[in-house]
Amino acid sequence: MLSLSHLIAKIRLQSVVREKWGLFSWITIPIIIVFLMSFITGGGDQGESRGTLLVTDLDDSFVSNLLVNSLSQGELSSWIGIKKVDTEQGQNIMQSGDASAWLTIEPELASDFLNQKPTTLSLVKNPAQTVIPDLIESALLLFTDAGGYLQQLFREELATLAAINSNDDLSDLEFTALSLSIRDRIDVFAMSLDPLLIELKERQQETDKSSTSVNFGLLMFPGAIMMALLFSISSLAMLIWDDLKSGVLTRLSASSRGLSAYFFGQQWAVLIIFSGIVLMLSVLGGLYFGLPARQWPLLMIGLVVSGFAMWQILLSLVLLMPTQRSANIVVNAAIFPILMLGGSFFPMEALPDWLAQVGLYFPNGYFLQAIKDAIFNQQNYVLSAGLIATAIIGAFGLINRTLLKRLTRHNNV
Amino acid sequence: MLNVVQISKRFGQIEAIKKVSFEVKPGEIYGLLGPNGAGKSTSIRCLSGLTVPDEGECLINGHSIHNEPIQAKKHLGLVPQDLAMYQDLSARENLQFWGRAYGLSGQVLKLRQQEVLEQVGLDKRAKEPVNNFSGGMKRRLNFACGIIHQPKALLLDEPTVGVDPQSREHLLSAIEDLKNQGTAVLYTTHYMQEAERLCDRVGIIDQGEIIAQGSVTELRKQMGEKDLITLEGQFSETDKAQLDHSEILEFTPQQIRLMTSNASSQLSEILARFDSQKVHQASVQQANLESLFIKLTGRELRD
Repeated sequence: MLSLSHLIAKIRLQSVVREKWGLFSWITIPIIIVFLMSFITGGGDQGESRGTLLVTDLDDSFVSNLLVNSLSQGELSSWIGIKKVDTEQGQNIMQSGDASAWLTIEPELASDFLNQKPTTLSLVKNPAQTVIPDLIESALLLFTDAGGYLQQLFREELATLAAINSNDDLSDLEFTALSLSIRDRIDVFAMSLDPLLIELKERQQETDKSSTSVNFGLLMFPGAIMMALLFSISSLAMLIWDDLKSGVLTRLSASSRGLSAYFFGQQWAVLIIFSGIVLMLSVLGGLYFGLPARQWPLLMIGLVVSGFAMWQILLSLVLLMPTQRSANIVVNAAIFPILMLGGSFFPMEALPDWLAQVGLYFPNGYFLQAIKDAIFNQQNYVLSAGLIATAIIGAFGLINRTLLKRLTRHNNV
Repeated sequence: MLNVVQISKRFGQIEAIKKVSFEVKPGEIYGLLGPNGAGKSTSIRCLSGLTVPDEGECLINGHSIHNEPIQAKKHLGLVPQDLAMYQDLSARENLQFWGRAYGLSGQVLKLRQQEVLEQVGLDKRAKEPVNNFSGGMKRRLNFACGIIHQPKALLLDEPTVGVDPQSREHLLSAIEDLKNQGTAVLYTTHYMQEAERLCDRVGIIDQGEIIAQGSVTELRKQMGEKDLITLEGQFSETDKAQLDHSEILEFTPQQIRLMTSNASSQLSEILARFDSQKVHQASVQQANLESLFIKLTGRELRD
């Protein structure tokens, strides 16, 4: 009987390998989706999402340089890269959509600022982007506000600066006098402000270090492997209907132990196919996304076991249907919500909380999250998830064996 | 060897078979004849354990197919109407598969593979995928898969449908060999000539009931050794009165069927009673199972 099961498994494997385009699509579609999604969302670390600010500085004074340098300092520099361009270059780049915004600093900015005259900065935002252009605009508004305060506080000192011919250097005496004046004014303000009644402290959100360090692609790739398994499940489950339609299954059920051997054989074949897919994609993804090798066995075993449990569940749906056509429709209708909400198309981490909670009620969503939590967050409930998967495999295995027998009885020889 | 005892099966409102009983002894071929929907396939499904009858029992070598399926199925071979095999595999691989399904292995399996391949004339093409075979060759392989384990009882469900004369002859010879080796064979077919050649006994089934049963000779006697005359043309009720001395089996405006002794000499006399414009075609059939079937049911087997 065992050798018949192996023979049946071999026949199934041969038929899957013969349909190489089917096998190819099970594997490549999830890979394409994970790379596309990863690319769309920034290609990896979310901190790597940077915008480009084009600057055309027609003034080229110390004030305009101060402004441009301010934009490329501190935290802002991790979001915005500054590129100096002339007017024509700026227009071309903006038209091609390759920058987030374009700032033009008009001539006489420094002169107008020091003489406390109104002046204008022009900003063109890229309408195809949302976050970065608004961030640039907000930063510029802050700087213009700060400029206004400077004008109010250091009115006399700015007037002194403006009175100096730009071609002349300050004498030591003038420089000392100006410095003292500025320091005295700061001291006066400091006395009135000290002690500060309101203190701003930066507070870090308490999150798991490992969780925040995982990039989007890495979060997605276990789900993508599950997607490959779900695609193959749909085809593998339907192959049983092919055997039924050809009469092989019905004829087998008229033999002494054929039907049990057939079901064992199918399970062997599914386990081998799943192991192959998971091994290949885990190694590829693990290497590409930098998953430590010690995590690979858990990822692989977890995915094969949970994929096998999913096959048993979906197979019972397929075997419950009265015709091959209805089985095909139902299994496809079931696969898509399972994929979308079960963490394969979108990682649970990217879903709104309520939707992620819904996703956890899907068996694949629950298993996938258990595997990911064990790998990335050191939350170890993967064993209990494994027990649940084993229970599903056992229970649905018995159900499917019965359904298979029932189906052969309801289809003509 | 094969005992069907008073089996009945109902599907919803339709009573597919009604208290069907027959027996097939070792070394005997029993023909189950009937048109489509008569209950042949339901009877075979009950016998092979695929359908549980509502009443009655099917015994294979003394074991109930439903109460002792493992013991019963060991002795049973099934050749279904469908080509139930893997089309991508070779003939030898298919035989290996079905041999293992019936518990054969090792040298015994290899030996049996070779034997049945020779028996059905496929030994020279054993390694080719079944997809490359003609319809007749596939039918022969389908048959070979059902006998690889040397069953004591064999169910053949229309095994020669759509096969060429060469393949038909191969199959019929192989079935005769099995009979000579002591296998009990249940044979369903539409082809009366096959039944007449092969079957020791015949059961005629119609609308779920066996309406006649016995050896071909016994059944011919039921016919009274009369021949069947078929007239095709345009007929009216007044024409019916012209035929009072003959046994009318069927009368329609397009066709008349008559049973009569010594039809060859009677035909010219019968034709003389009709206007020559009315009869377009006339044929005479010697007394056989087909004419018996028409007599019993008023229909042809392939209706």
